[in-house]
Amino acid sequence: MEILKVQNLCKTYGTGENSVKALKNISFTMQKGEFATVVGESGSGKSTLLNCIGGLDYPTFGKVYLNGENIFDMKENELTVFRRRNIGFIFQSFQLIPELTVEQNIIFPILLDYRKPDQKAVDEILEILGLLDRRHHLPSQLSGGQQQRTAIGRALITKPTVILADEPTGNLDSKSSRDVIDLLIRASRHYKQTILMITHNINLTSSADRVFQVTDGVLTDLGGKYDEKLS
Amino acid sequence: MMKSYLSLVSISAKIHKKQNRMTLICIILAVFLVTAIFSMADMELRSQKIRAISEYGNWHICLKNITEGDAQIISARPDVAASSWYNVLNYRLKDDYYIGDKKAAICGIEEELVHSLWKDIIVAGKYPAHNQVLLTENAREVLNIDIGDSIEIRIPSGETVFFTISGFSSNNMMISKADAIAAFMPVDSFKQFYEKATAKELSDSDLVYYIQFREHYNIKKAIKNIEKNYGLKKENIRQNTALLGVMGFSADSYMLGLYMVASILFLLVLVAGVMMIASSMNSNIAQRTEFFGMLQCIGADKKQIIRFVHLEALNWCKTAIPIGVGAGMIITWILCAILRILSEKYFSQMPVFGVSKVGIVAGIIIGVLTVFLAARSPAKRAARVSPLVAVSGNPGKVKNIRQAAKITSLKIDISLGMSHAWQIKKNFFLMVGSFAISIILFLAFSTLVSFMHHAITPLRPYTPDISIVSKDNTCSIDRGLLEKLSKMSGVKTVFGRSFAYDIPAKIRGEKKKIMLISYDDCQFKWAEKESRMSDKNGIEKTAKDERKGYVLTSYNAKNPLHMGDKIQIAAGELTVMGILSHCPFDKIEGVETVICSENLFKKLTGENNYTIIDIQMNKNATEKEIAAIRKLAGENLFSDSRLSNREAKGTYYSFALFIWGFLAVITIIAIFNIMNSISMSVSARRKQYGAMRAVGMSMKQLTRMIMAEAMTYAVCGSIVGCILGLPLQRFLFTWLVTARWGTKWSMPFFAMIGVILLVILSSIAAVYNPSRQIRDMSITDSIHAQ
Repeated sequence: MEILKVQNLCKTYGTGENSVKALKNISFTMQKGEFATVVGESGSGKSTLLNCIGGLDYPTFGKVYLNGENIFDMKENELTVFRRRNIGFIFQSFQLIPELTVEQNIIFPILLDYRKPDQKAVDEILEILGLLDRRHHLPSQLSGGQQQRTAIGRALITKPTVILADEPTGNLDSKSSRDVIDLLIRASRHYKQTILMITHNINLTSSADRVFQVTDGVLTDLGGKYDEKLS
Repeated sequence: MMKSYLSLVSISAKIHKKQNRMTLICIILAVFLVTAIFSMADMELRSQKIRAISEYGNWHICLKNITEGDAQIISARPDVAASSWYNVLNYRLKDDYYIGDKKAAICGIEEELVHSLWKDIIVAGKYPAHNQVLLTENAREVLNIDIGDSIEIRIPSGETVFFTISGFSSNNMMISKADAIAAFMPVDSFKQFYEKATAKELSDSDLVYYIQFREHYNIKKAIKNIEKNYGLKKENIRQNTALLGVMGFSADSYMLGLYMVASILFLLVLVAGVMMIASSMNSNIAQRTEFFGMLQCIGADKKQIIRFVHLEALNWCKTAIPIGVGAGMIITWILCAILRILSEKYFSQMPVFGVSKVGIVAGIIIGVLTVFLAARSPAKRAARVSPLVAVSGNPGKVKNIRQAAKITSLKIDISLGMSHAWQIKKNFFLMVGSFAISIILFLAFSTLVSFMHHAITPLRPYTPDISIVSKDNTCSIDRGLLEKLSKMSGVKTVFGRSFAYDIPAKIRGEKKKIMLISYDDCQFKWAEKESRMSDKNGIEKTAKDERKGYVLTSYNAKNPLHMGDKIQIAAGELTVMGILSHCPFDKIEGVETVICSENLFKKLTGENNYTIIDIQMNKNATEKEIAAIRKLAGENLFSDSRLSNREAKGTYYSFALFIWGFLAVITIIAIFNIMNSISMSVSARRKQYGAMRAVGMSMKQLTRMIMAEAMTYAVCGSIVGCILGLPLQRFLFTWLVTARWGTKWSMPFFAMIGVILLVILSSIAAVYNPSRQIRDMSITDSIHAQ
């Protein structure tokens, strides 16, 4: 089942002589439950692609269909609510709310929807993430890995269709990185979520179903596992 | 090419222009506040000095009972600038000294007195020689005389003494009002005249000795020294309190109280300045922890970072202080210009582009000093930033938070906004303090308004310039005179009143006395504006319907008359239809003032003529026109109040303008400060707001969250401001008003509600701009914002 469809996505920064084409006519689709990674050098346009897919940034041209809806046809407020309910974000620098506890950070998107969080679901996520005993801790009292796990929890809580992760392991040591990725995969399999993850770490692509490479704003679908292709 | 690591300061300033703008604005505002308040206070003191000199003379003390020898020694003191003997005969105009048919006061003066101590009072001619006199200017018109003419002064014994006129002096307020003339002659001539007129020898003890001290000497000390050296008693030294007061040398306990109040107010202004700068710098540093961490990463030591922050502060001063001082000066110029426009004659001595050294120096010193003081804590804070912060990816306030936000039953955006406000205690105190200080400043300065209302009575719409009064206070001025006067050139308004005194009356069965006064249409129109309480159309009915005996009365706490009360007098029954808050007559103890229409007055008393005719002149009325009126007045008393009106107006304008000016500056500063504080707080969290938007927070929710934060500051600031401001206001009120006029302090509800509304509305308005900026910024840009 096709969940994400990106069509002719272009993004240009600046105008005239100073213009820089960050994304050049990118098109691809992703199926439900698929886990894909995006690799590429710094400045190749990976983050721009992810931000455009997530509706954080607007493309110069092109369409992004999520669950069959073009997100750029939506008004700003509609898009915010859509993002809140259908897209989970994980950032390299965690972006947790410092004054909220682990549990409060996780349920934050539900609270933004003015809904009451389902305590069972929260406990379940906390357990999967191994944060049950840290639920009342503040981000400042957590290690980097724990903070990123909290951010994953926040991305999972609304059971979004797609999870977009921008180098979620960029600030973590190798063990924590592996743990986080395992967790992400386990959780997404559990909830049947589609994941698109940017990473610099080639080792982490081994778990992905598909690997995309972005070079100078052009996306190449490497198909199966990155290291397989290389080999 | 960078010469030192400190060159980074100017480079960084160029790049972070936008971030630094808010800190710059804060320093500009603080310097502006201090410069404007100090300059305005300086200008007000200058204007009050001009007023005091023109009203009371440019002397500081006058001594009684000193000998000629002592006077000579005193005049030789290095701190004495000018001194002169002076005496006056018939000061109260009660004895029969006449020049022509006008009462006269005779003064003995020395030349120094007219030039230095009384501030150039000669308007024509020169200081009189022996057998010559200097007359007040009004004599020229009244007696049709000029310099070189001969006049005779009639003394109580009926004899006359001849003098030649050497010149004319400016009119004196009391002399003008009483339509009298003052004659000035040298002290020697005066001694002879005195002996002839009173058949007594004039001794030194009858004379007073005026002294003007040099500027920059400690006058208070000099007075004490003279008092001690010459064994003078307190009652033998009269001080020009008005002048000494504005010069800051008064020993009067009330004036000392005023100085204390002024010091407290200035202290408050300073505290406000420091708070504003401190909170802005704190916020500026907090936003750049990553940068300071990076500096440490690449090898900067703590001292270097502190030096860096200090230099940065100095760099801001370079731009902010001249702008702040300039803005403060411009505001002062505007106020001075308004003052000159309002009362040109009175304030012609005020400089148009007056530069207040006090204001400028205060602005600069306080600017630099507070910036450095305020920079101390952020500099230390910057130096404490761990190099790890630069690489950890979790900069900013994460480390400062020790307690989780309370997500209450309120909406998440509101709870989070509130928690943002009080999460970081130091920031919370600074913000609340910054809001509270605005309220405290406003409440404290608003006491000056009450002080002004007590100290100065503004001119009422019915205040006359000229009055023609019946000599024996009867209704003897012909009605026809009013008509004649109204047709004269230079006359703006003429209105007459008839008086019937001590009419026996019964009020609620009690025997009383009333004073019946008639009003014409013009006065009833003014009365409508002064109405404290009246029936529907009560004043109009009183003016128009004489058949029903409708009357008005004026308010005072002891007046037994209330609305609807009946007054029985021999001629009929009167009904009180309205109570006026003010009326132009003094209250006589035990006699109630009752105002009726002219027709009713005639019906009740049979009198048709006036006791007094009041005249208001056009602004540019000439002395010739006044002289013509004086001629028409004939035998009746002629009273010229133009001079005293001008003085009253001048005092009121200068006082009101500066006090409202203070309040306006404080209000503007409060609004800017609130807006800037909120703006800074939002800037500091821009990154976090970006992340929140990314995970699904709508702009509406974000605005509500910022609003909740702003409201938390506003409400807490208002509470703290009122808790601290009200007792301070009460204290200042007691010193300023209760101590002098006895009026008790009451809760200033209007001022309080006004300032709280101002704070809340400013906070609401303050949210608009930052939230618009965030909306216009893409989420990714917000997340990556520095």
